[in-house]
Amino acid sequence: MGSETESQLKSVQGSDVGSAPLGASAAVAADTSTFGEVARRDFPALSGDHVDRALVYLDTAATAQKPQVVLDAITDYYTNANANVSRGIHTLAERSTDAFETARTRVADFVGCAAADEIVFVRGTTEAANLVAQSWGRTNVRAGDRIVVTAMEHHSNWLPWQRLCESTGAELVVIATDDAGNLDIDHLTEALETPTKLLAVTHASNVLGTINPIATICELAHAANARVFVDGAQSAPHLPIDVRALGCDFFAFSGHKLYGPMGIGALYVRREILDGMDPWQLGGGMVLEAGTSSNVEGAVPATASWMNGPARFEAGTPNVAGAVGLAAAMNYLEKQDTAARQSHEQDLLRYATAALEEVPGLRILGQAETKVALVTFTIDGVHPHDLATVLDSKGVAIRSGHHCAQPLHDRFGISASARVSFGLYNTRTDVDCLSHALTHALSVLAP
Amino acid sequence: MSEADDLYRGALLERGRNPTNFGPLPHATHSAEGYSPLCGDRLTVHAHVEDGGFAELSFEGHACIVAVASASLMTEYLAKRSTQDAQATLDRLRSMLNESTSAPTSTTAETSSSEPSPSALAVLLPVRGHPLRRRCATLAWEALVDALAAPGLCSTKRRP
Repeated sequence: MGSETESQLKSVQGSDVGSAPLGASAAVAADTSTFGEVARRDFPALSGDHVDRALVYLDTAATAQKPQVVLDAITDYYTNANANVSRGIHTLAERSTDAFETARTRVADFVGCAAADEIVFVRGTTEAANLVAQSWGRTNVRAGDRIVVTAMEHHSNWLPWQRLCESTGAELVVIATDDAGNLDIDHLTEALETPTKLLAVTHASNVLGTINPIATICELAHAANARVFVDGAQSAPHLPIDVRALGCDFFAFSGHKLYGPMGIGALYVRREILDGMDPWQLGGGMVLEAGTSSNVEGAVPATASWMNGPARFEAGTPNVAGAVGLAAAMNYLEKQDTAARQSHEQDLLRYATAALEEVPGLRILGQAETKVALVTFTIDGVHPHDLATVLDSKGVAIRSGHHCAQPLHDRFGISASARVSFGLYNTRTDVDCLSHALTHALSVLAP
Repeated sequence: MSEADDLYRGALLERGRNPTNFGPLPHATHSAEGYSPLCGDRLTVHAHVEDGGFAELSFEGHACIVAVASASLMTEYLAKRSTQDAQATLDRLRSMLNESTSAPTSTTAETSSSEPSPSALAVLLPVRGHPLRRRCATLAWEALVDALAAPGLCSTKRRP
């Protein structure tokens, strides 16, 4: 079952990815930029009369620009439905609660899970990892247990587990990557021979771009009785997600990288696991009954019981407008031709890889066969920060730094790198602008 | 957008590419590492302090042109000066960088300030137009102040 997703990915990414090096076929591959040109018109930050100069936005892996339909959905919510959810019983409260729960169903459908009550709304992937570490982790992880992470994790899928290990006395094991940026599956298999409580792994690396074979990884982990937490922050914007086909226990992603608003994301938790988890934040909206048995002055309320389902993990007033905006982003993506969108993004990846390989002294970090549409690189003698500033002067926005993945940069022996990443609104013209700007930058900065 | 061409031109670029006092300092009495999590800049500054003054300074590490140029400038400017000048000059550098850039940027004219910046710092003026890069320009200075705060040879990391 799991291999279905993987074969789906392979077919989506085109037959030339498998054997030829990335970029080799760029000259003959069809230019899919029309897709990008059309999509771009939906994004007010990238087009329209108010944009006084063309922005070449190549930082979508950090956050995606938002289509007008998402902005409209948020405005519409605050205009016509704003009220607190699951509390009042007036008309607006009903409307708001309905919008929130409809969004939850939309998200459940987007990730292919069985029911909406397996979806917890969170601020983003980071909060999701912290939620699982603090709730599931505190209950299930003991001194002497093991948690396995990989060398390509973002800090948000590393630090919560590191702290959990520190606080419980569990051991943190790190799975290596090879020089091309592939996860070392042999190392993982070997690591799972020792009893392991949890494997935390990214679906797609935010630095290397590597798409990990999550279905296979989940099979390995489950055979060893380990749970699997999947960081889907970089995969959900690019790949079809089917948590049941992947077979993971937890899957987290952020709305803002998926063309939705900031401050909203979702955590999928398999229902039987969710039911056994304690709350991690306490407050309104998550409690069934609070301290009614000994409410004497001066006494500490003796009992409290919690709501079932996702509400248990959503203390406080949730980001309803964010959830509505996220659902709108998913609707927007669904209206696109998914195959066309993916082949367009993969075309940009190949085209950019080929262009960057021509730059003297440039080294690409991450040469896995299956990648999401991003390229990270260093240039000999040029600091990525200086590069990003000069490119910005030419209207080209890229990311520089360690991309919240210091362990990975340590592994490759560098302190910082530059990254270009693509969304559906990018075009080959954007890559050409990058190439021209790079030539200029090198004339200024190269030693 | 930005005025990167101002930043990567003239004295700042030249100094960033060919910094003076780059390397270890065998007789250092104080050393500290400056690290910027934003961009991964990592510099170690060394100072040889005698009778309350800097006899000699140097720095080493990997960092962007702005951080390297500023570190090099620091090692020249503070040599033979009192150790108290380290914090004082850092303060003046910070206020210089935080001054409004709405006025036309000039790399020579001093803008009004209660305490004028040393003209030696003027080479860093273009950094004002790049708020996210100000930290690069102060990195080495902050590390030096850290080194002075902890007596003897030490290595501390700056927090953001």
